[in-house]
Amino acid sequence: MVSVLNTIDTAHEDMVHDAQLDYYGTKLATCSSDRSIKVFDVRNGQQTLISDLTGHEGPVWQLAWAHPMFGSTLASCGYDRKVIIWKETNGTWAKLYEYSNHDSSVNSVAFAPHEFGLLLACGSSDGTISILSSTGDGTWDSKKINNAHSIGCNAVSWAPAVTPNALFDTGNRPPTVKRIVSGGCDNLVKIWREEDGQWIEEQKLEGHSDWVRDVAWAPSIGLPKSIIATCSQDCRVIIWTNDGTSNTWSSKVLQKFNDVVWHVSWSITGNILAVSGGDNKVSLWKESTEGQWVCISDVNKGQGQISEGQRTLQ
Amino acid sequence: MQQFVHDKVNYTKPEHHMSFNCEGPANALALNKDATMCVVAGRTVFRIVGIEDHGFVDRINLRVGKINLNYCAADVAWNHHDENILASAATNGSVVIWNLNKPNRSKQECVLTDHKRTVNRVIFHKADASILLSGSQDGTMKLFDIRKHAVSLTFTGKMSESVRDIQFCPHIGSGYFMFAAAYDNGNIQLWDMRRQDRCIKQFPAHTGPAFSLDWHPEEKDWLATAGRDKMIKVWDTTQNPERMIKSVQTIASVARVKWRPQRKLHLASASLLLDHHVNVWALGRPYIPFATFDGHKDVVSSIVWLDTHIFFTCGKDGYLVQHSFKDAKRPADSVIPSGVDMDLFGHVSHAFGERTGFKKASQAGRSFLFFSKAPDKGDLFTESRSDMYVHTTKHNLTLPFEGFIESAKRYKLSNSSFDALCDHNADVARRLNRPKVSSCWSVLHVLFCNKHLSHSITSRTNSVAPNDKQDNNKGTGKSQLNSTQDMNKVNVKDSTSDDSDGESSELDNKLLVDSGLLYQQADFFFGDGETDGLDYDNPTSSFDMLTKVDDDLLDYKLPYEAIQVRHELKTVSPEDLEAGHQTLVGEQKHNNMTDNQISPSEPEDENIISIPSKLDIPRISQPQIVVDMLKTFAQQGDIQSTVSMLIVLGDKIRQYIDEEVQEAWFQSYIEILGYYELWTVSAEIIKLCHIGQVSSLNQQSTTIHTYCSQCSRQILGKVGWLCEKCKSVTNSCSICHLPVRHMYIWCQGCCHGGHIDHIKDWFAVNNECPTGCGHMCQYT
Repeated sequence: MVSVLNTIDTAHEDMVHDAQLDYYGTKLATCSSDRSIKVFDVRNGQQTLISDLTGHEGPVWQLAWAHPMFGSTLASCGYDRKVIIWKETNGTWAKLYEYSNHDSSVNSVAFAPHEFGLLLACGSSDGTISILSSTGDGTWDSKKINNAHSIGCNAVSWAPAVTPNALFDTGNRPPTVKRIVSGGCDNLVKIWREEDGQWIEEQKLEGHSDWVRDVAWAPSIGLPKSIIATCSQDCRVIIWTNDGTSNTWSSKVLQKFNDVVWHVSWSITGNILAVSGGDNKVSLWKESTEGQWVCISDVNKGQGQISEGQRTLQ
Repeated sequence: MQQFVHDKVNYTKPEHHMSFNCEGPANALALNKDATMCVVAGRTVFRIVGIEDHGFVDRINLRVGKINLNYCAADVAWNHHDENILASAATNGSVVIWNLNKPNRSKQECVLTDHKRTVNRVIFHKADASILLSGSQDGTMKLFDIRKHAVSLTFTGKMSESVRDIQFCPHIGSGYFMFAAAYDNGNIQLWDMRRQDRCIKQFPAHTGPAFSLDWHPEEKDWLATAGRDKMIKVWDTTQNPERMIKSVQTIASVARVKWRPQRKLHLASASLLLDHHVNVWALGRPYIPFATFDGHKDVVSSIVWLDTHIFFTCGKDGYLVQHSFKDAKRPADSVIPSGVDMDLFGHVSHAFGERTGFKKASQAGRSFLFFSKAPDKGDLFTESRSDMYVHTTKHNLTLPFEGFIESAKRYKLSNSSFDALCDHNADVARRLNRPKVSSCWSVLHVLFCNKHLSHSITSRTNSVAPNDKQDNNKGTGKSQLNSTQDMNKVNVKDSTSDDSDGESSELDNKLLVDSGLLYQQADFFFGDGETDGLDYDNPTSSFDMLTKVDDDLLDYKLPYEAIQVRHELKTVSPEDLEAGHQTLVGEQKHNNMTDNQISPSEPEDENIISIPSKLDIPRISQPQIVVDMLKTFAQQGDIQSTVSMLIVLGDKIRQYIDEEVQEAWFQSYIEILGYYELWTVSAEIIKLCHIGQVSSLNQQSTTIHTYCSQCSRQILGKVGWLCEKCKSVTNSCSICHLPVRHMYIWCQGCCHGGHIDHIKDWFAVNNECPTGCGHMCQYT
């Protein structure tokens, strides 16, 4: 049973493109076409605007919170080809770093698992993925995966920091491998692995028939198995699984939705997948013990949407 | 599926993307009256190109004869009355008039060298085609009469700022004599041709240079300006002071701005650098371009509209391009209109936008069919608002968010017997409405119970059975209570008072508290939190107490008895058991585990229970099953159950699971506890973990840095009480000036302190620091 807990008046002047809760679920950041990012305190069911971050010169597409060990740090990317990293110090937000080395709109940002340090992947419409890493002394290094996706990269997500093939490696502990999954306008999902400081394409997953809109690597479940959820404009959500023993990924279509699916997002615990689609609904999915994905929750239609009458009044 | 405002029009003739290489960076572009030809001018380019249906055709190259700086054009204009007259602005300050009718190869008619510096713009007057106006870097604008080939008027403002752009007001009625000029300092001036000494109006429009301006073709008072500050602004010039109607922020400095014909709120812009696209903006939604056009490899220097749907551009890449709206990219179509995220507590925040103009668009489409005058579709591309909701998934039993925190806090993982821990945790899980987890704890108990086996197991299973049945009956409130009581009764009867049922067994609780204390003391002495060492230590010191209680509490010694169990475990061979029964148990257990439903309702369950009562129960029933169960929990995301059971099982199961897997489990559980800010639980888990990698986490960041209270420098020396810098003892008492050997109390504000007694005495009377440093210390 899903019910509306509260509505948040974001006061954005245009469409909101992303809303992200921080690590502890106490702060909510929203970004909008109106070029601004707003940070709300959402503790105790209240929402108070903490800060209004302006600095982007175009619509802001996506946000990502860093692990709290790096302080209150937020990354944003937008149409203005910039990636901005914001940091809160003593209650005031300021730009920590601005990266403007993309040739087109930057569509996606994602912070790496904290084990890897302050590390950020950005996917852009110029087809590249850039990996920004903080050296710790205020300067940033960047690496680029060129031609990651022709026409453009729409989404990036990091693999959890787990030792690969943990079950079968009894010898020396291999260093934890950094992996990224990305989805693009070439309808492909690609998995990248860092090797000797270079990012190489490890896997190309074909399954979608239209732009891949979002990718999400499930958090570690303490097993070598990897799970990735991807969604696309072809109205499908695909769950890709790898058993950790081979290089093959098996796919399972969650469901064919009636409209474009924009977002997929995993819960921190419990491997629950939230799917948000073009029909403005959110549904929650969980794998049953039989290995089937079942919808365990759907946004209550009456409560989840504004009725048509209200909308025209606005 | 999706509908957007596309402003689509049925094209009457085939229009397509055309491009032509002018072989040199182009600065300006002008169309002739009939739009059959255009002139492209640049530093090394000056040619006339024919516009045909199938493409551009090279017509006349004007860059012939003796080439001098007069050919380096910054701007070009085509006279709309006389097809053959062109004017160009040269970078050396000359204004050149060209006559295509000239029989010579060189079509230069005359060169007017009145400006001292580069001329940025030349324009013909819309009505009086003999009037040519030029604006120059030297800060002046000159009005030429092209018939006389001479300057008739010079407009000089008070400022000596460079003129970047000029434009005659297109409204012949009121604005016949009016023109606007954009200056390097960001100001805009409105001039009357009849008055050359000063402008009619002036207003600051941009920070930094204003590069371009354009009068609205229909709204006669509207002026669009653009500048290096990346802004496009639309002004109502009749207002005093000028009112900014709308502004658009772009991602780069704006070099050119042009209104789109017949679309009241649309304008096209080109960037000075960075962005090689032409963006068409709808003022109703100033954040995202209505349409973008590519085709240039470098920045676009000039934009000329042919009609509503076609325009020409030339760029620094040397290309002349015809753009058609058919080819436009619509950035707003590909934006993601929703955002979703889930927090720790199962709250889902969801923002979603209205589909841009969805309904209105369909209505407008209909009216478009019936009325001759098309509605202004640009108005439909308006700001899109998003609604944002937070949904709660509370009271949803299928979700694991509920109960995680409570479980984490209430689970007992150590300091008691295995049986007691299992029972306690099963009870916790049951109370939190997690029957599956509860059953698993009970089953663990049954499987690994190692004390007076045959007797205890039978009783134990009996105690589990009614309990589970009750649960199955969806026992709420009363029935749960009953079942607990039931359980208690059974337990008491069967002389197992260690069910740790909170209220019912105070004795047990007391014991736990006591032992907890002892435990901590032991911890202090032994350091490093080595549980094994403690367990040995513990019973010896608390043995009296234990024996006083009840002999069943001898269970408590289990932690080290468990070690023996492991040996037995190895010796117990399956052959000892009846093969049939064993497989039966195994299969059932296995099924139950994998289904994660120890569904007590199934009649087979009775079998499980009945078997041990008849059988000599195997002490270890296939650890693999338990391993599978733990893995299943992990796979389902319930890492809490996995880790808790792993800790409680300890040596019983540890050896069957790869250590790295265990470590991964611990790590992820600790991480999740971090999410919920359950630091105490997290610390306990770390302490109880046998894996070095994990248990060493508690030893990280345990250094305390100290600073000298005299010179405020960090004490880096070998001893903590002597500052190497100022050679003073850091811990001397501020009152008696002797070194403090025991408890040192100090103010965190001024770093002064001393013997606790002295300080107490001092602050009983005073508020200020005893050293006289003036700090109002707040000892309380």
